[in-house]
Formats: sequence, structure tokens, C-alpha cells
Amino acid sequence: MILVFIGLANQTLQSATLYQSQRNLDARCSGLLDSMLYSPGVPSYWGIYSSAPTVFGLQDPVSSENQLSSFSLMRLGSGTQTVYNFKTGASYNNVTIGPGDSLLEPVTEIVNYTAASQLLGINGTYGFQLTLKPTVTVSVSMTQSSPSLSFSVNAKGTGAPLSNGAVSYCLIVISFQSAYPSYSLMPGTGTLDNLGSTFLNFSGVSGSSSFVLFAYTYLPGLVGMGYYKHVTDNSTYVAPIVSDVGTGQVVLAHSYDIDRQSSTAPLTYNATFISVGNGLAFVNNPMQNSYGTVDLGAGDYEALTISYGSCGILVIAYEKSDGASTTGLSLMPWGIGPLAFPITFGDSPAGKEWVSTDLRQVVVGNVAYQAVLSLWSM
Amino acid sequence: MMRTVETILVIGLLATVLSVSLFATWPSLRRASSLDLRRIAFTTLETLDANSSLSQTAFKPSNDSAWNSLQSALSSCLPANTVYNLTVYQILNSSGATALYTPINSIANTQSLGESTDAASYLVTYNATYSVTAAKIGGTSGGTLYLLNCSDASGWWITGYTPQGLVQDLLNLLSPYFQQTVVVQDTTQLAKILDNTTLQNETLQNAVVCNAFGEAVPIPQSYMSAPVGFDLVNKSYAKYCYTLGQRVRSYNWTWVSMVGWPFYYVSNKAALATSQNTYGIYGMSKNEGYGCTAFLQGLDNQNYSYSLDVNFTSQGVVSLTSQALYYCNYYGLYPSSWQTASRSINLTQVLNNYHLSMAFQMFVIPANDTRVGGALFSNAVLGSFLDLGLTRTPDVRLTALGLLGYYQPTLYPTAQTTSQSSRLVVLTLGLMGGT
Repeated sequence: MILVFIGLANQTLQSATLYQSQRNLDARCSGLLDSMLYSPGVPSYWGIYSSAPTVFGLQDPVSSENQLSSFSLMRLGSGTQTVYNFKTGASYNNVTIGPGDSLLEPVTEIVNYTAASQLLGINGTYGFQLTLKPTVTVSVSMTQSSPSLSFSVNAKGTGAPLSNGAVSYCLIVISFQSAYPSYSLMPGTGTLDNLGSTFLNFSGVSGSSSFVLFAYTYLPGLVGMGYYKHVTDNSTYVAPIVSDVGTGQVVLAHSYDIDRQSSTAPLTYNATFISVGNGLAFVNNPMQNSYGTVDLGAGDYEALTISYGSCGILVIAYEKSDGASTTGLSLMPWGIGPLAFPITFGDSPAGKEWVSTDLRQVVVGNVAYQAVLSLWSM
Repeated sequence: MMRTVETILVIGLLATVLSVSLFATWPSLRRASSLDLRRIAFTTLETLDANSSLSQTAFKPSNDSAWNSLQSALSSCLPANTVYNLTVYQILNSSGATALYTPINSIANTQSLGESTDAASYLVTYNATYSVTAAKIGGTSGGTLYLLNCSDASGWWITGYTPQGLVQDLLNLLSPYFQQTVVVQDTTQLAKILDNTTLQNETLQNAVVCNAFGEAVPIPQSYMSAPVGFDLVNKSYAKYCYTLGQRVRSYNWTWVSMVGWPFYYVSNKAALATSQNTYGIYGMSKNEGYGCTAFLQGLDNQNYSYSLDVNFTSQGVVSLTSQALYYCNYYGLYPSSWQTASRSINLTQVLNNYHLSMAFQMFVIPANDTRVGGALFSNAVLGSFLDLGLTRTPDVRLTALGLLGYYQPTLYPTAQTTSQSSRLVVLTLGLMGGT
């Protein structure tokens, strides 16, 4: 009888202990998430310096509340396979959405999971994964390419469509020229319907050349971003690589140096920097050294310098200089927000026994994100 | 007897354990691992107020369409299994009494939030603005600000910026202080104002001309030949800088050099397409120090002489003068009070040889030093020159400070006040499904 009693009492105590430890993990998860998102870290501008932080935090130092630094997020290790540059022999952290649309940064300037764990004081005690996903998913698809370009834009939040929201868009069309490609910008605004959808038509513009359509959707306080890109030649492209975050220097590599599969034809390029101003209006910022040639020859890559204090999208129009008359374009966000890149940072929670998660609404640049922290005991 | 007592004791203990097991309310799984609804609610309110959208909506009538947009945004950004109620309270605060919270509008996606809810509150304030009106520089006899934004010229020593970006910032900062701001879009337009032709019926005399191209200055094609723009003997465009100095004197302009060594290069992308500044920037030709000397000669109505009379050297870290700091506070401009001057102008030369005086000294001159990191110089007759000999990158706030500290336009403050300027927004969240 006594043994039965001990067994029952032990079971009750075990349940209580387990409940308490899980509650403790839950509280720890919530507190840790707040400490990551509500502190800019030390130094507060570590996101735009090349140096490593001594205190980990992701808040935008020029803002209060739940605005995160687009540049601090840019320096988090993605955990995906690094990209190796055969020409320079260096490896780069890779945040990628698709071929030619990537953010490649020197591995030496990246804050990795182990370093972040140590700075947060949980190394060896807890494991974590931080994910940031745009709150609004903006899907852009081409519905017609001839005789005029038409697109369907659909915006959906995590809970419901972005009913009757506004949309600010910009179509960039690349033209083949004898020396360097040229580009033209066609910005505009529109309105979403009850289901968060709209159609955009560009009369007089056909889909025969390369182009990209950027679309920001907007309801008061809630901004989402999506884009659609079309290139006439996928065989080779210009790969922008961040060479120094601190100075905003970006070098332009040939895709053959990255994948050893592309065509080896030289590419001439014309680059510009698109930022988003007040009212989500697109602003074209011409750059110094915006024209040039990317080839496989010896010597340094062509370099561009971006104003490191402002977020935007580096758009590089290119064409083959082998007479093929094909064009293309590469996109690189400067900061995480402008192209609404998702972020996954940390270890995988798969297979862990008990994982606590918590969620916060945050803003990166203009774009609304949801930050989810998964935490487990080690 | 003992065995009976033991049996009763064990039965009692077992009954107790079983009773506890049966009647104790075990926490639900959700309680053991729950989202922090209070924090989610608070960050949701912060997100919705990221550009003051929530603050503006909270003060609108309940039938305004902004409430529908707010509800759409709220439904979109919360997880699909979340129910919510957002209520806005008016805060009435009569003197000496406790604040009274009166609900004035509410939006929700459910009638009942269930038993497991949490709430966060967020105080929003009416967009009351404290505005100032600036007196216009120049009165009725001038007050034009020319911003050189020539698309057919290149900049130098403005690393990280473009002239177009700097012009946009200058436009935002300085246009409230001027009667008219004219953006000079190309060198053809620049030639027009140099030829005494207005672009937008502005007053050309007594204007401020701001060069956003750093150490380069845009040169129109019509000013690239002798005698106005090219020194045939020395093969230099320093003569153009001399002509610029003459124009500054003739029209009583204030010429602004934002950063570095003024007039070190001239730039015209088309006419100088094959010429570069030795750093790979094409469309430029180097004047070196001859450009600034020639400019000051023109400003002082001296004869042109191809010489290196004016010297610029590195002075290191310099600090703003107390007078400059005063105007920082007055005009709400807060650049760093410590700057690095790598192109400080030699005062001995400019003050003695060109009839210039320092009308507004921006940086402290160390003891036994004869250089200044930045100052606005006025000629004894007509024309002025703002020189900021700092290292790249340029800070437009220092340019604005130099001009405002010199012209000193008065600010007339007008405070707007309003009653009932605060409202409390409470967002209550609950989770659907499960227990």
C-alpha cells in the first residue's frame, strides 16, 4: 500500500515539476525575445560597422519601440551553405531568394549562432532559433506579357487578406544598348479589392525584355512587399557581393566565379539604387561608377559604394557583350527590409523534446514582420 | 491495534491522494506553453502606430473609413486563431480629479473573447505640433537659394552620397528659410544664371549658390573655352573658377563649398568624357589648388594669375565654436560638434590677400594655428564664400549651420495646444480552439 502511495505521490510531483520547468522555459523564451528585440546591442550601430557586437540586440538604434535595424539583421548568419568565390577564394554568407537575387556578405563579418548564444548568456544552457517572416505575403504574378504587360498582385496577412489596402509599385524595364544596358522606371499607385488583390496593366510595354516589378502594399501601419522578375537570359548574371558592410562597398562578380557553370561571356552593367521614401514612393538614386564591365579576367572586380545609412535595393541591369542582345538584372537588398527577405537564425528545433515559442510584431524598415523565437533546454 | 491504525492511516493517505488527483485542476497544455498575449498585443499596437496611423485613427469619428482600414490591418497581422477587441478610451481629466476613461469606439472580430485572454494598453496623443515660422533670408532684395544638381556632372569627395541626394537633403533643410529655392538641373541652366538669366523668375542678385559636387564644380560647355573658362597658356580650367569668382562678386552671391578642397576639379560628363580625375571618375579635369586661388582672385576683382597662393592642409580634429553651438540649438541642427578637417584653409593668405573677413567662424582655431576648418568669408565689397574644409563624407547640417549662422533668420514659434489630447487604446487578445 505504501508503495502504491509513493508511486501516486511521485507521479503528482513529477507532473508539477514538469509543468514548472515548462512554465520557466516559457517565461525565459518571452524574456529572451524581448531582450533581443528591444535593445540595439553594443555598440548600438554594430549593424553598419564591420566590428562584432559585444552585446547582442536587434533594435534600430535611431528608433524606439519595435523597429528593428535592417542592417543588424543583415549580419546574422543564415545557416545555409556559404557561397565560395573561385576568383577571390573567399566564402560568403548567403541569404537568397532566387538566382541573382541574393545578399552575399563576407563570412568574417557575420554574427553566427554560437557567438549570439554566448552574448545572450545561454550558450550550453538553451538552444534557440529566431525567425522573421513578413507579416504580409505579397504575391506578384504576370498574367499577360503581350501586347502589354499585366500583373496580378495579391496581399495576404497572417490572419486575413489586406482588404482595400493601397499598393505602390514600380516597373523597371531593361533595354539592350550598344555599350551598356539602360533602364526606365515606371512608378504608380493603385488600390486592392476586398480580397487584397489588384491587376496592374502597363499599356505599350511588352514582356520581351528583362524587367522587375516591385510592389509595396499598405494598410495603416502594415506594409508588405513583393516583386516579380523576368530576365531574357538565365545563363549568366552579375552577382553583387558585399565586400565591406562598414563602408557600404559592393563588388560585382561574374556568375561563373560563383557556380563554375554559367556562360563565361563578359557582361556590361548599369546599376542604380532604388529606395523608398515617404508615402512608399520609389526614389531612383543614381550611383557613381554605375557603368562598367564584369568579366573573368585577372584584377579586381568593379566596385560600387552604397550610402550605408539608408536602406534600398541595388538593381544591376546587365547585358552580354558577345552580341547576343540578351539582358538581365540582379537584385540585392541593402538591409533586410527593402525586399522583405525572411530570416532564419540559429539551430533547428526539430527533434527537441520540449520547445517553447513566442511571437512579437516588429517593423523592419517599412515592412511589418513577425518575429518568432523557439527555445529549448539543452 | 497498531496494524489497524496503520491501515486507517494508509487508507486516509490514499483517499487524500486520490481526492487531490480527482479534484485538482491541472493546468491545460496551453497554460504550460502559451504565447505571451500581452506582449503580442502591445507589439501589435506599436506596429499599427509605426507611422502614427493608429494615433490618427484614434481621434477620428467612429464612422470614418479609417476605422475599417484599422480593422483590416488588425485582422491581417494577427494569427488566424486569434480573437481581438480593440477599444479606444477618451481620457477626461478635470483639475484635481482622477482621470476618467470613457470608451468612445470599439472594434472586434468576436462577441466573446473566451476565458484565456490578455490585454495591453497604449497611449496615443493627438498630433499636436509645435511649429515655427522662419523669417525669409534676403527680404525683398534677394532670398534665392540655388542648388546645383547638374545631372551632366560628377561629384568627388562626397563618398557614399550623390549630389542629387545631397541636394534633396539641402532642399528639405534650407528651403523654409529662403524666398525661393531653385534646383539647377544641368550645366546649361548653370550657364544661364551665370549669364544673368533667371530660371524661374527668381531674384538672381544676393542669392546663395550651393555646390553639392564636393571638390568638383560643374562647368557648362559654353564656359569651357578661353577667355572665360580655359587658360590656354597653362591648359587649365582654373580660368573658369576665376570667372565664377567674378560672378559671385557681380551678383553679390554667397558661394557654398560643402566639403574638401574647393574648385579642385571641374566636371562635365559630356565635354570631358575622356578625361578622368586620376581616381577613375571620368568627366572631370583637375585644377588642383589653382582653382581656388583663381576663384578668390575673381571674387576680389584682381587680375587673373595662374598661381598657388591659397593653401589647404590637414588640421585634424576640430570643434564647433560656442557661437556655432548656439545656432545649433537655435535652429535645431545637431551635427557632431567634433569634426575632422583635412582641408583647412590658411587664414593668413585669404584674409590678407583677398580683402576677406570671417563673417561666421564655425570651428575653433587652436592656439598658434592660422588655419580654420570651416568659416563663411565675406569680401569687403561684395560676395561671400562658405568654405567647409572637412574630410568626406559631407554633412548637410554643417552647410545649413554655416548659412543660417551667417544670415541668422529669426524663428517665430507658434505653439498649438489642444484639450483632450490623449486617448488610451486597449487591445485584448484571446486564442480560439482547445482549452
